[in-house]
Amino acid sequence: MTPSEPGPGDRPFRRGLKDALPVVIGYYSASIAFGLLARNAGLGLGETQAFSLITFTGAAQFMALNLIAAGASAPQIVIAYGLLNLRYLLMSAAVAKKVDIRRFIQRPLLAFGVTDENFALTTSHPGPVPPAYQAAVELGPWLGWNLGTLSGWLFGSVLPATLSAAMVSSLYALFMALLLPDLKKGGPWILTAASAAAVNSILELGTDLGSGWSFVLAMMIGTTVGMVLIPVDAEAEA
Amino acid sequence: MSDLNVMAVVFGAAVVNYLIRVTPFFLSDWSKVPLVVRRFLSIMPTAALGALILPGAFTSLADTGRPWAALGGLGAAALTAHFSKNLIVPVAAAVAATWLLLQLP
Repeated sequence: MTPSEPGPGDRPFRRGLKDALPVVIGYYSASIAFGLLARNAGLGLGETQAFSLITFTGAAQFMALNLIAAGASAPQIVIAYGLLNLRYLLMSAAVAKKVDIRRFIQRPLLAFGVTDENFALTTSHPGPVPPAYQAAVELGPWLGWNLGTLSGWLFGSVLPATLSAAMVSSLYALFMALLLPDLKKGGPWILTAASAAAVNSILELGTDLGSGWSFVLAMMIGTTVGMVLIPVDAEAEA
Repeated sequence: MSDLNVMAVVFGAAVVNYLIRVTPFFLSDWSKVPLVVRRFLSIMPTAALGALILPGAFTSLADTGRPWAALGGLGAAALTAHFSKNLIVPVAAAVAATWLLLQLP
């Protein structure tokens, strides 16, 4: 399955919101935990909300809370933040290549909200991505992430623990649904995804490298496997 | 907590993140980019999805004591994604399957 296909009378913004709905739900649930943990770590509402409003990154925000609680210095935290998010350099490049940018202002604006999840939606989109679609798959999840942060700080965990854990699984379900068409293309694609998954699991669970470097390395190694195994022509049509 | 200025951390992190995200957007002419780089970027999403799913799908459930419940969620997602055009279907199926597995006595 792929994100919805553009048809006649396409309304890309609305289509983007529809495709991003699973991300909005997942982000809302995950960010409730962020708001709650930030409050427990002694952060004010302004500080907590500012994290979600202007950095808009999942795992890095949680890591920052750990580092703040551990007494790390500001430069240490900022550097760790950048390392954990180095993957966005590659993801943004793939998104920028895919979006049909028409006006200069769209570059700085659409760069702001690139995340793992909307990167996955955009790169799975059939054909060029209209800027309005890209805006929708960034804006919807950004709102969900910020509303969840706010309600987490104000009200704590509003969902039962098992339900909120199950809701977070929506993000992995989305990744799985987006990966499925690649897996159906055959062995080389399966090995590409599987090698990245294996390397990431080994490095993240078995070493002290940290999830930032683990992910970047896994992505590089998996892609290299794909470049060796996937025939050049087949990939051009993909 | 020490005298750490949290707002300074937030702004510093925001600047670093934005620079990482925005730099590739100012590469305007993709036809000048070497073929090997373009090929890398078109294959990379497949690898990224693999690494996004594992081990995160399991470790995200670590607090519940039942990380294996992720198998139900991923399986339900893959199965329903095969039959449905709408992304919300596999997502709803995965949430339901994971929730059921977490509810089991």
